[in-house]
Amino acid sequence: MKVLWRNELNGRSGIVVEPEGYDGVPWVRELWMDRRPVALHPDRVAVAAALVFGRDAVGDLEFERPISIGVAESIKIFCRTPSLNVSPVDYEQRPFADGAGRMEIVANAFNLHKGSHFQDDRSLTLSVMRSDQYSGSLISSSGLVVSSNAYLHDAHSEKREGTAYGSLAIGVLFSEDLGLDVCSTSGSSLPIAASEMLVASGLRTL
Amino acid sequence: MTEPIEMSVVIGFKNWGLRRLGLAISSVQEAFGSVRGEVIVSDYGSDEYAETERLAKSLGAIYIYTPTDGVWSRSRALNIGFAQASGEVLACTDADMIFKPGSMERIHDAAVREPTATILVECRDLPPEWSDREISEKGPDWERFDRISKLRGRWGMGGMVAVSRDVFTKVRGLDERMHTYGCEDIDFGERTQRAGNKILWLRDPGVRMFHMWHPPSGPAAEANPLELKTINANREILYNDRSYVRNMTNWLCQSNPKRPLVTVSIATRNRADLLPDAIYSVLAQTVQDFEIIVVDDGSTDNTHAVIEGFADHRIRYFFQENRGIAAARNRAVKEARGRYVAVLDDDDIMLPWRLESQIASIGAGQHGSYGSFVNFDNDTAELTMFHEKQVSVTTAFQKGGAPGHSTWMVETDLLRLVEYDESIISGEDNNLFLRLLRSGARLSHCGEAVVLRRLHSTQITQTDNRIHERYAAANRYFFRFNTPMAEASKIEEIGNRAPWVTVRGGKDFSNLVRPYLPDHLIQRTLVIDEADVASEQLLEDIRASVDGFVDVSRYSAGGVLINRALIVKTATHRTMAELRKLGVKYAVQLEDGAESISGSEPDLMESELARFVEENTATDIGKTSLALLVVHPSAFKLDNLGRGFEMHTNSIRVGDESYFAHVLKTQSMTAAVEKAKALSVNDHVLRLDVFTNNAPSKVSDYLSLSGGAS
Repeated sequence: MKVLWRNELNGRSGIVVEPEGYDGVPWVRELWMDRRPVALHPDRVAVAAALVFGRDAVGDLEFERPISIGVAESIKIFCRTPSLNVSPVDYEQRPFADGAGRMEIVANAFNLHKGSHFQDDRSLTLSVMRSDQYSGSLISSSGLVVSSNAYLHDAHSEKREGTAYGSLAIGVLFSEDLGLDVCSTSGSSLPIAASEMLVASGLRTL
Repeated sequence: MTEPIEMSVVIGFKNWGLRRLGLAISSVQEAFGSVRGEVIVSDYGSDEYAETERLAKSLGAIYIYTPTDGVWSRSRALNIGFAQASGEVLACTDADMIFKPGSMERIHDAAVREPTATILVECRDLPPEWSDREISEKGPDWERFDRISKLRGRWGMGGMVAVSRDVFTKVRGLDERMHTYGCEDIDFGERTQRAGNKILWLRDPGVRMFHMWHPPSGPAAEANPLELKTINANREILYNDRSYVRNMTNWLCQSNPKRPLVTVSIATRNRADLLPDAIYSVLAQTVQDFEIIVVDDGSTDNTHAVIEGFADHRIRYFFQENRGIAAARNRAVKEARGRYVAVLDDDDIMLPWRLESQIASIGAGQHGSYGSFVNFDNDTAELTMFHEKQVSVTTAFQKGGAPGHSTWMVETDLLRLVEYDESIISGEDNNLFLRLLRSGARLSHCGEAVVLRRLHSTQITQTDNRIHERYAAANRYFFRFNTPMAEASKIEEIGNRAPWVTVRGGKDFSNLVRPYLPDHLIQRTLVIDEADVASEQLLEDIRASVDGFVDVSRYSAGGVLINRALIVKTATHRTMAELRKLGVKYAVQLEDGAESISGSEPDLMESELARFVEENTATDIGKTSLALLVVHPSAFKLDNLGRGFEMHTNSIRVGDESYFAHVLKTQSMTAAVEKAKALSVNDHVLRLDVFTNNAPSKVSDYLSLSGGAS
């Protein structure tokens, strides 16, 4: 499965996958958002892609840029496919993406009055809004609102695994832009394998 | 209460050796471990089966025997077995495979852990000294088999496939067009992949499948030219048919529980006069695996009574207080049991190939389909085709570009997530489509005109056009909101350059669709393929359901029925629906003489003959009248053919060949029998049909009474 980043003329950006060989065809092949993150650390892109599409991959899971060995190994564990070959991998330890503070990821609700960029214990909200109902993005000192089709992936992964991975993937992608290193979602706690993937990319989960 | 079965393993079988089968069944039973499993032996046409049945049942397996015409079809054999299966995990294997104890338990666990995976196991070939005889005499030696067997590798589907029941029903089993040998398992595996499954070759030391040695059968099968032709036909399907749903029109082996393939969603309000046309057009679909949900949005006319009049269990009716069409459509989606929802407006007519062509066009990663539609004037029958492009974000960008709503077919699960917006009162379809595009939904054009869209005075888009435009503008603004202004013209240009989809029929589309206009606008004749009237029971069923047909029966000189054709004049939409329900194929002709190009094209000569016969027998063929249809090449003369008969002659040209067709009429059974006997031994006679109208007595009765052989 090839994982690609696309920026489209109509203003949306996101992860697009091309299944190959024995890969399953994902229900929706793209994770779109109405704002392109400025910082796209390859580890964070890989983790976001694995959360949403990894379980459909069987043979090669190929990214556009080299990822850390730790992230590659955690992706293989998360995808539960022994034959999965994650590439390309950079075996030299690289710096994690910058950030300190907490991101509360909320699906389909505005919650911008909680927290602030400018408090000591930084805590911001990422509201991931449904792209069939909202268009565009909005930034404030309290957080970011962005429209995305993550809601479809949330519904799909909740049905399959009991966890909403779509919105979490959006959070991973914007974590560096917002300068945060903790991703938290409402609902049940994250499975360990998913949590380890985020940790491998320099994030924490609470 | 018995615990439910967790896993079903089906073994397809035909004349493949009882000892081998016995070993296969026993090994699978042991391989279940702690999983509650069942083994189903689907015997597809073995010559002798009493012993097979006894053996299977003695080993605790379920045994199903299906008599056949001799042709082996692994697809059909397995589907018949799966139709009886109770497990949530379904697997199939061959009668020459044995499994190490505990293997099926691990396969089951893998399938449960990965419900969107098609589980395969690599086969290991045992050497010639380990055929079923040796295994039966010495017993299996699993450790030794591990050492001496040769891994076959990941060819095809390996010899065992396991999937969840949900995926099996989603793709509708193995393709029953495939028979004799080859490709059906690979095709099945690839289709599950297109349907979303990943292919998982299980690497587990606790899972072992061994192939009992036997002399190879592959090369011998390919040496037979007829079988080779079939194998090539199977390959043609494998390589070129990219759909994943099969057996749409003839899946006789449907698994339990039943979930209709398609829900046809009709939202209606006070259209009781037009609704029957819509419903009959659905009932006449070539795909009969559907339900129709009619949501009545507060009608004050006799809509409910009209629906009840159909007395068809596939039609489900829901009434609600008037809340608007969007709410009605959402209600239909909420109540839908089909995998797909096909939308139909209550004043439109579905062309009979719609469901079939749309499902066949849905490939990997696609969420649905749409088609072109043809507007028709409800007073004048004037037709106008509306073409569509392959819609995408770019083609939708400029104008909103939603395809005709009455042509949509979308996954039910998707429509439950992305609902119709009930706050808007016009353009709700356009709004939904743009929202689907923004969410990454993929729909494809099926390459057909699929709906006849009625233009009439009470149509909503005629009565509130200004409101419609206002809503359309709002939809476009939402859709384009996030687009940088600098890119807008570029996107519009790309969308404009996208080609229009060419549909079947092309410029002659009117010939294709006109036969399906409402009954008040045209008159049609149906010609029923004689192969579909092969049984007397079916003929009786047709007689009971359909009025006004001419029975053209072909008998041998000895009075033995050879075949039949039926002509149904002035057939209505109801007639077409009744015949489709009986599983009868037909071709449609217009009674103004125009040929039709239809979903099932008649032989041109056949239709000419049918018309010729009809013209010359319609007015005077009574209870005891008989007629003979005689066809011979025009190069030959049949002397004294018509002596003693009233004779009508027609010349027919088919390509470079020309023929004479004669209708000979008589009141005398004896004369008819004598003439038939004489003509049946004449080498120049290509066709000899003896027929009457739908009189209660059969011609063969007359023949036996007159002393003719039966």
